[in-house]
Amino acid sequence: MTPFTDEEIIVAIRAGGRALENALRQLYTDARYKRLAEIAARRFNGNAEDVEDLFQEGLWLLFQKVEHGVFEERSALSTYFGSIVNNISLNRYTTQQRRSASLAGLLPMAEEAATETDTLFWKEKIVLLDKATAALEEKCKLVLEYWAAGYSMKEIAELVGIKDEMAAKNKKKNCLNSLRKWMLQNPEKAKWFLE
Amino acid sequence: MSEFKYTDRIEAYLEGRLKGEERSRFESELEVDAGLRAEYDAFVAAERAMGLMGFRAMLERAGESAPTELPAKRKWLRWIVPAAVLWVALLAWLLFFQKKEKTVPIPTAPVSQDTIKVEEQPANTPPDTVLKPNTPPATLRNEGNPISPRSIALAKSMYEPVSFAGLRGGTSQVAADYLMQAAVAFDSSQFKKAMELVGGYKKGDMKYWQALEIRSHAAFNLGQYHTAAMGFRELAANTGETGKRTEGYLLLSLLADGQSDGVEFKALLAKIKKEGEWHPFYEKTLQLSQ
Repeated sequence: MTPFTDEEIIVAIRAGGRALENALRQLYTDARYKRLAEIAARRFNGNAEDVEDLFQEGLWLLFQKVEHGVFEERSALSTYFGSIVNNISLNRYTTQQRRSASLAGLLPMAEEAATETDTLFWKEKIVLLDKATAALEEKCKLVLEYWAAGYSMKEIAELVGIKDEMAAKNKKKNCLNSLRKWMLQNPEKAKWFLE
Repeated sequence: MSEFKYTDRIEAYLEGRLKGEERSRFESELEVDAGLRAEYDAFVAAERAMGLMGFRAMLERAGESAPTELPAKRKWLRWIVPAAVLWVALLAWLLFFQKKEKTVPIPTAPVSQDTIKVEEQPANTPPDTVLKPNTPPATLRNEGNPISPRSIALAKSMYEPVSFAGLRGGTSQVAADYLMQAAVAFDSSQFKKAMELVGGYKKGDMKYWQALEIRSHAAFNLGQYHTAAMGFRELAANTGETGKRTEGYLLLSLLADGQSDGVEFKALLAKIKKEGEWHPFYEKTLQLSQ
């Protein structure tokens, strides 16, 4: 497959589904993007695990910003990605410093201050996501994952092994309601997904 | 009966189907109706979580299909190491083996009846220092610590099984790598064999950390808690954010090894409790503290 240009990647992200997945696969294996994450991580003494986390979170934010039109295409996509991972790395560093100071008893850990300015590290978001989805059965997770990636109900039915589109649609509705229920019952944890 | 009272309105708002006055009225109600606000937040949070689920799944699929081939302009690099090895081997033969013939035993993977057969020598054969599974060296044995059956039972009940499916590769690759064979053995609950297969990896080997992880978990499953603790301790100190999960396994290993009165156990317990629910082992720590 010939590599996507920046323009094609943007179109693919906004199209969703297999196009989005192909675009992600290309960026995931692009050494330039990985290198940018590495530089940003090492700036604040990050290790190999931090580089990988930063890379993944950077891609996540990049895709969010492209999808929602925040990226205005005034620079190359890789340049924009570089600024994203630098910001994440800096935020992570300041959060770590603040948490260390609080744990050492140097600063009072005011609940309000923590929730206003604190950020979750990528791995913490994943831990929280695992908690939120722990009760979902495997098929539920697959349906929601593919739906979130922009696959059609017909594709989802084929990929997940569901009878037809209508059955896939009902499955998605029930699974999403389970997830919503968890959020409703755990508002303190749910708020981290609202930031 | 549904937990949600405002599903239709919230979905209509989020999908942009509420217009004009209806939309304004909904937004005003969000400010004052706590029940509506709570449901709305839950819906939005679920959407965002779903987005993250989908993205993470795509990352995993992208990682599985990532090419291992070097880019074209760097392909010449793949010949440097074999060429260097050949030159060193030639020099060694000229200097040492011409005078005195010496047969270096080629390490072979230990074979038992119901395990994987090694059909050819793997390219990255580890040195011939395979640990005998039933006799750990003296320094690795727990000597003198009282071990309570209750502690062991508690540690084992809290242990979350792991899988090394990600290391296994395709079936055609199994014979090529001791690490992959160990992963297959571990996932088939052949813990002794898994430990034997990774016993030769040393620090500095590219796959040392993965081998150490397999070894530590295999040791735990075999009841060699002291060995497990040593491995998890090293992993926790060297593997960044993933060290958090390893800290949990270290705690269980220390518990099962009769070290729950020790300084290390208590310090680790306190550390995890202090980090709170962001630590993946936090809830289990509360149980251990009771």
